[in-house]
Amino acid sequence: MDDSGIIRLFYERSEDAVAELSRKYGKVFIKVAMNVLHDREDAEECVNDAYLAVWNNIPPENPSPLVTYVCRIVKNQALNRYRHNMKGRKNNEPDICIEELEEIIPSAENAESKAECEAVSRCISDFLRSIDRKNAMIFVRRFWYLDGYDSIANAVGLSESAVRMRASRIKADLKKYLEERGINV
Amino acid sequence: MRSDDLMKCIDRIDDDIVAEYAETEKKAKYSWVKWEIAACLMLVAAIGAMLALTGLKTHAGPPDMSLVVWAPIQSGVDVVAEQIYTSGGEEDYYGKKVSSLLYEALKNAEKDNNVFLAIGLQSVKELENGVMIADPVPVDELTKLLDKYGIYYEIIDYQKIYHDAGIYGEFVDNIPSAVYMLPTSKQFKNLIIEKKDYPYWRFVLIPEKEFNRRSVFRPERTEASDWEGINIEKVRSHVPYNASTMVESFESTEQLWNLREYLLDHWAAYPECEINIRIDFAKKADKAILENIPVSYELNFVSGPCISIKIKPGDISPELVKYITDRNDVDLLLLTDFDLHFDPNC
Repeated sequence: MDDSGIIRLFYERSEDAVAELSRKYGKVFIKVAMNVLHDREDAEECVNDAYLAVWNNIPPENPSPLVTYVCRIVKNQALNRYRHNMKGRKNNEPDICIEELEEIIPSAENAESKAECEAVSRCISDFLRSIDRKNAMIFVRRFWYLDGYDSIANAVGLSESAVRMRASRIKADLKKYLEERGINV
Repeated sequence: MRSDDLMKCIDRIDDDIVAEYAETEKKAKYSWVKWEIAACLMLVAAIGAMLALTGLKTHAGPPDMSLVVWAPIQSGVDVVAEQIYTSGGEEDYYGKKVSSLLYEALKNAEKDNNVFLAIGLQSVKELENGVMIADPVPVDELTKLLDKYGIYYEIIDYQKIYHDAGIYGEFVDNIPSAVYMLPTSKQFKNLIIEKKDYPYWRFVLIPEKEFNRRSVFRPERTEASDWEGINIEKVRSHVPYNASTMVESFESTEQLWNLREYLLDHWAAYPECEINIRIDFAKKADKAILENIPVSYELNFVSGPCISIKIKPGDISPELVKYITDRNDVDLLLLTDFDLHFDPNC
């Protein structure tokens, strides 16, 4: 079933909506949650909670693409769960992953407003459209889906060390790209 | 920049970019594989598919050494439903959170005979994969055990069997002699341990109605001696549809005493067996009345006009029998999880 069909089911308040959504993208959602939580049960709970949120949000919302919309909810649910689980501990993995970008993305005083953050996001999007498809995938999988290097390596058909190397170069290129557009790091 | 802010910046990159790498993962992967390798993979896949098709046509049943486990879906869904609803829509059997929405979706699916459910969140995963699983056996427990003993297994999609004319239908109709009905996960574990030398297992998971329609009984309780003196047909005639459910009205204390004697005699041979006695209070539902039952019991769920209690062998005391029969609002006694060894004429 295509995304519009699934959304139509949500609009009709059909309980098949969740089943269809799960059938089509369930594995993706679980993967996203697992990337953060590394625990199957927690991941499944997050995905369930996300389904409930989607059910509550559609209608009125009509997201496109649907998968990103739900993935975002799943990821946020997972991050919240992760933070809850890791309360009081240091070095949680999602933060470590993002810390890889701290040297590139502007400091807090430069990007503290929502508008500035959106500008940075827009630039990153433009950057991703301009680079090699495989590199874009590595970036998105690593920093949006919070995927592990081993998993990315498997997905793109490269060795893990090659993926790490590429990620490092992508970050350097991104830094240059941002600086050229007046976003200082 | 704080991690939260970083996360927000990354989170807001354009949706289509994010979606592209979620949806086209395999396509992207394969596009980078050299075409020679891709061609080889396709060839191997084609040969595999041909072999599989050939196998399907020549296999009228499971391999000779296979053990087929029938794991009928019983009242799990309803029980879970009641568990969820009566506990505020949050908890299931194992104390996990379940959204009532998801539950509704699953229940609806089961109603249409599309999906068969397990108790617990494992079912979510299995639903995604289009695989059916058994109640009351938790799937993770099942697979852990199977993996532990190195048992090769597959779970067969009954819907496919049911709708696929010919080959699979024949397979289902030719139920092998080793048919097990497994009412508890403990029995299931024991069976796996006992039969772990079987090289190949198939779990054919079917809805309860279908199971009962085929009138399959538990082999461990169907020794010939068990059936002596019992008019099976007469017993069956008392059972309107559901062969594993004994439905009988008890109008006198004497009948219940006979039942008690019968159960105690037969349960002695099956000390681990449990029986659910489900009492339908047709005229009113009142949880409080259970408080006066002078036996140990486990309250399973309370819903609508129905109260279910689980009683272990030996727990049917004269007081309970008297209590039940003395109540004017008890007009039907249902025995569930109990096969047809009960002679209504006794």
